[in-house]
Amino acid sequence: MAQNILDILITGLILGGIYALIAVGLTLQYGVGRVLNVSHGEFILIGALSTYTLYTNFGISPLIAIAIITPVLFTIGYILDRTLYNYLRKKAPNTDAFSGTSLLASFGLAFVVQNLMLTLWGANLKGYTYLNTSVSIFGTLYGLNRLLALGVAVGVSVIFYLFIRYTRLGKAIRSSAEDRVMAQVMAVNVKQVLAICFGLGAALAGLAGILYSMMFELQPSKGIELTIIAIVVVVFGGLGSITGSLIGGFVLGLVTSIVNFIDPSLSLVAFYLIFILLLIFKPSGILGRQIHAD
Amino acid sequence: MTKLLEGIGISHSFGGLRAVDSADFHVEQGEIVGLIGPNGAGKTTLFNIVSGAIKPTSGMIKFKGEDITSMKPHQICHRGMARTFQITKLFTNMSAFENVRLALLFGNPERKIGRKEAEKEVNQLFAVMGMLSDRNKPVKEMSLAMQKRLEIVRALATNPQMLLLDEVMSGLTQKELIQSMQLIRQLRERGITIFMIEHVMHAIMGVCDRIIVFHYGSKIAEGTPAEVVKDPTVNAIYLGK
Amino acid sequence: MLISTIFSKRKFTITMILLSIILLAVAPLFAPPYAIISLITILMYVILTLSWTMFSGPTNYISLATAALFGVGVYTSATLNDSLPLIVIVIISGLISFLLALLIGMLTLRLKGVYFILFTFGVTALIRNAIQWWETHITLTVGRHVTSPGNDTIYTYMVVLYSLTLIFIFLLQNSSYGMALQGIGENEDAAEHIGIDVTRIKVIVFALSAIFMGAAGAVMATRWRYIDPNVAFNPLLSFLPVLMAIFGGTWLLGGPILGAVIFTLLQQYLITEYPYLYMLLMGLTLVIVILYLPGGLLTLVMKGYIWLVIQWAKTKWQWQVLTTRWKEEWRPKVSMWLAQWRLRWQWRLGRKR
Repeated sequence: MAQNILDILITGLILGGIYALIAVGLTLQYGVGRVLNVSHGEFILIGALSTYTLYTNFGISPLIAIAIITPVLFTIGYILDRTLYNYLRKKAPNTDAFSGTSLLASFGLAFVVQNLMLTLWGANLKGYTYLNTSVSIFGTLYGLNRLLALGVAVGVSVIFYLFIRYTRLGKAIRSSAEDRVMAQVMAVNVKQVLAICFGLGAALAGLAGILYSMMFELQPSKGIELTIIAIVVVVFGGLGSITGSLIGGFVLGLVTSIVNFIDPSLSLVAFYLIFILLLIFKPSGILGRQIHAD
Repeated sequence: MTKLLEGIGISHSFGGLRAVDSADFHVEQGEIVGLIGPNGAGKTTLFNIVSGAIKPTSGMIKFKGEDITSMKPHQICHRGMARTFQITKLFTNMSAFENVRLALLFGNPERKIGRKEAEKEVNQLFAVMGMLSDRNKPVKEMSLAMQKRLEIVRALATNPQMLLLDEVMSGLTQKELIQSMQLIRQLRERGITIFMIEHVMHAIMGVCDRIIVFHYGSKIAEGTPAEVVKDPTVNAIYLGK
Repeated sequence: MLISTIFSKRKFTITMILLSIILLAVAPLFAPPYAIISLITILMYVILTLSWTMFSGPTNYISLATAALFGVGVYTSATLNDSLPLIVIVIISGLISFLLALLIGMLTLRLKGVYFILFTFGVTALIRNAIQWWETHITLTVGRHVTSPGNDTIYTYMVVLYSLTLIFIFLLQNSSYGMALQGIGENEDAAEHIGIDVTRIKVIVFALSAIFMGAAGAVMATRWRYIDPNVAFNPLLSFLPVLMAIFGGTWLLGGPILGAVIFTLLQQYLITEYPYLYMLLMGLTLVIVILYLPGGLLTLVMKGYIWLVIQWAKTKWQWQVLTTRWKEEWRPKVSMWLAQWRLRWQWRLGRKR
């Protein structure tokens, strides 16, 4: 009994770590820039598939791949925001209109990126093994790669949390999320901050993808699934709350793990059910800020 | 004099910020009452509560004796209260005529208005406001003063007994101001009670029977324009003396 | 706006509607069978895009529930397949979709913007996964087979459905409900304050639009013949109508139709050889349209048409100006010079003699 509980717990944490990273990335993009980036999952997969290629074709270990992929994705995200989303932001008459157009634009982007990936990597499942040695914790065997992924996820989450709370850039990000006009008055270069946030979001997506690739099999069509997980976690933790995304990620990871234990095929159903119920009864999320009927 | 509109103990908080704090106020039938106060004093929030756009955290609003606190804006509109907005909320991609016609058709649920009849009534409303020649203009091409008048026409199409005007005088020239003040008096003569938020001091002092002064969400003074001008608290906080 | 004053002429719209219906009705007489089959799919997308635009166009509430509302019709048809005549199945499917949309609307149309989009997406996914789980574990029937009444019958049904959808939207747009819907899309607060019961109208129109989606689903089930949750509730069926409508332009009847036809034709040409290219193109088109062409293709076409009209008018005016000037200014002068010239020469010739 205790063994099962431990199983569920650790698997839940591993999943939760990835969920948290994915969600925080999306929150950065939505909470600050008000862009609901539905192509988020595709960026995760870019990270994952790039890691696959780097490892299988060039022998570069995923851990080193982190150092390569994250800056590249950050740059791509930064440029995307400075060009595409900034343009839309300027053209939109109000925030609601911008939410709509940016959502649709991300939509289109998702299609483009996914099909680029399909062209480059094909539709078949791909996987690689890395650090597949098992480690024994309290009697059960866990893959080293999974524990490593968990470690990285938790570590990055903590670092990120501290970054947002205590550094100057972190504070600039938070104030831009709260009140963009006020932030500008306080001499925050909001345009820069928005682009950085988007870039960070993309970088986190890439990182999550790298970790994901160490543990699961990859397929370009999985992008949309990952985006949904990100959205559900983000809504769960409260649209726009970074702490909410972190906590929500781990909570939902545990929930998935529990449901998987009972009946694996139910996990998607359970996920969407939670999502729907959340939207009906508490759209502001478990930890979120008040959604007044704006 | 009957209390047409009454607010009892109205409070409202946005997250941690208390926008309105236990406000009691009333407007009697046939009055023109002004609501003044510094920016952020909670005036527009109060209007939003009265018109049904927001539900107050606590307190009660009565209109014609009926509790309208939890009613939605369209229900309140049907009961005879209409409003304009600080930043005009017109249907910009429609013409002025269509804006008013929509209000006429949906603001009077007790009547079934046919096409020709609607056209006639809308034209009448425009004529009364002196805007007959502009009625087919697209809203996008109208000046600010004209847009503000259009919002008033649109509100009037719902046949209100009370009109909430939110800063209709801001951004107007001297001549336009005088016209506006004249218009408000005419509206009262037609039997419409007016409750207005305003910043343009001499306009409000010249047209209102009574003035309510708000500051940080609470009522700090109330009385005729003459009384309010002499009130020491008001002078200290608001009029800068 | 100039465009709307020229093109909202009801006669023009009515003529186009009738024309399209008549053309479709007589098509089987002279078009080859593969064209009819192709038209069935095109009509499906046209109906879905039109129904989607009916609600989401004017209000700007992007619904991603199309696949759910359509899929419910597909499943109803697959379940009731041989027990009832097709026409009854189609009507029942429409009703069930109506009820589902009513439920969805009542649950979320009180919230704004992004939550509606997410909810409609979530509901679709939930229904798909729930039915899949149910069929795999409880009823143990994965995949249903539907008998087909023949492509000609299917085509007829689709043309009738198309006509009904089109006529319904036309009537809606010209009714006070339609104007109220537009008002809601422009400024929901203002609409509420002039007495429009915003939530009620949103829910009703959303539910009504679902009828056509469900009915179309019921018919398409007989076309596809093998039905499982992934076929019936294919998420693409939620996304494609959005793309098509935005590409074509959401504010006129012709926009969604144009968008649907173009993309479906493209799909049929590219899907076998270059499936990824097709999707990539769609995504790219969406981004470009959002950035540079917010009114959709139809707006561009109309602006182009108006530009041509203006150019022609200008040229005609310039020509008229030239001819008038010629007649009034230059010709008299030229005649005078000629006359003077002639006199001078005659005088010279006279002197010489």
